[in-house]
Amino acid sequence: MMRRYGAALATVLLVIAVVPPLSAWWEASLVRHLLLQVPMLVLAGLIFGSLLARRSRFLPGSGQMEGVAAVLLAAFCLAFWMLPRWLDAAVADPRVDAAKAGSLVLLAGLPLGWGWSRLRPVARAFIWANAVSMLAAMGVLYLTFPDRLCNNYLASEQPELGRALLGLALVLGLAGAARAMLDGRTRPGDPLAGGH
Amino acid sequence: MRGLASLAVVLMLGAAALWWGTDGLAAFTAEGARRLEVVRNPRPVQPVALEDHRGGVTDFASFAGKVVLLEFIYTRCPTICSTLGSTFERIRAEIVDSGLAGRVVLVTVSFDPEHDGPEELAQYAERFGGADESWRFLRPRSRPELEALLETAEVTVLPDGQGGFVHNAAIQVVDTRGRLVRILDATAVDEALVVARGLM
Repeated sequence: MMRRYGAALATVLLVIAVVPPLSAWWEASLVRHLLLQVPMLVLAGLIFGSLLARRSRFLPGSGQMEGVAAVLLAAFCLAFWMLPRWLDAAVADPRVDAAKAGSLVLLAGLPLGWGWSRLRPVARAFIWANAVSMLAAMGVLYLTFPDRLCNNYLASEQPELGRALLGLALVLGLAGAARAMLDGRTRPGDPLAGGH
Repeated sequence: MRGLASLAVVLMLGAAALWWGTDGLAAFTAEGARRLEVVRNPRPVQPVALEDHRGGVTDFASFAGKVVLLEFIYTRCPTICSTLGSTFERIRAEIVDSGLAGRVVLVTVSFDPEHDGPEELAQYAERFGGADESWRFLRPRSRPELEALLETAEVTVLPDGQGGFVHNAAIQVVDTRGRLVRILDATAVDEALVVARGLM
């Protein structure tokens, strides 16, 4: 299923995220830009990355540490595009916007999809929990920050984004918790286990 | 071994990218970046023609030899422009008191010239004690000239959806050679005076 439709799904996501009239619509709102367009680009890369990971010929013999390096690369790339300055620049300058799309697919999504499959359950749970707390912290920051962070977005959009980030953190946190509980029930010896 | 090496490479590249992307952890927002950039690389302000509150025309180049404190506003602004206005009001009082009038000039430019004609500018000036030689109230005569000024100062003006605008409000400091050299907070009265004295 994944193998058959994955590439097609990723391509569709990519096109929806970057085709000119749609791309401007995503970027017209801070929430749509950060929580819809960026995740679509990352998800497209992630699908390609996990497809790549299934081909054993691609980087054979790589293990957990390469996986950690790949996920860390994705984290840096995401952190870069979380900087208000570069989000602003992506709206104002099409070249920066192209760099954003390219790097989010190739340097965030792709290594995340490939690296995730190399990680053992404890490493996955660690990263998952960190992502949840980071999203929540960013949510509180955007909800309470007194100054306008982006010249291309209204100050009133910041608390909107803050609430959306907190909502996302809640959903991902509950999903992680549910997974840990359910796995704990079926495999008592490995409470943090996550399936593939 | 290969894993550790790739981890080290990612750490170095990632840290370098974030360092570069924030000018050495100094600028996280576009506003911070523009303030840092004009300090490092002062940029000339275009010699655009501006119309004053009486309909007369002034060239920005005519301010050469004086330190210019420049603000961008629109006269219907209910919020931040008034803050900037009272800052300028206090700066003008200081300038006049300390005999600096003639060496420092305050310039208020409307970025809404379609609405703000000479009459609106004059009314706006009255709110802060009126226009005189040390405080000019102007509007660009054409869209391209307005765009050029806003681009140089990196002022972004967005419609707020209720007929007004949202804009990054600050005090732009232009030196005696017509170069934008500093960008200060909208309430920085004392800092503006210190910077202006330092540029004379």
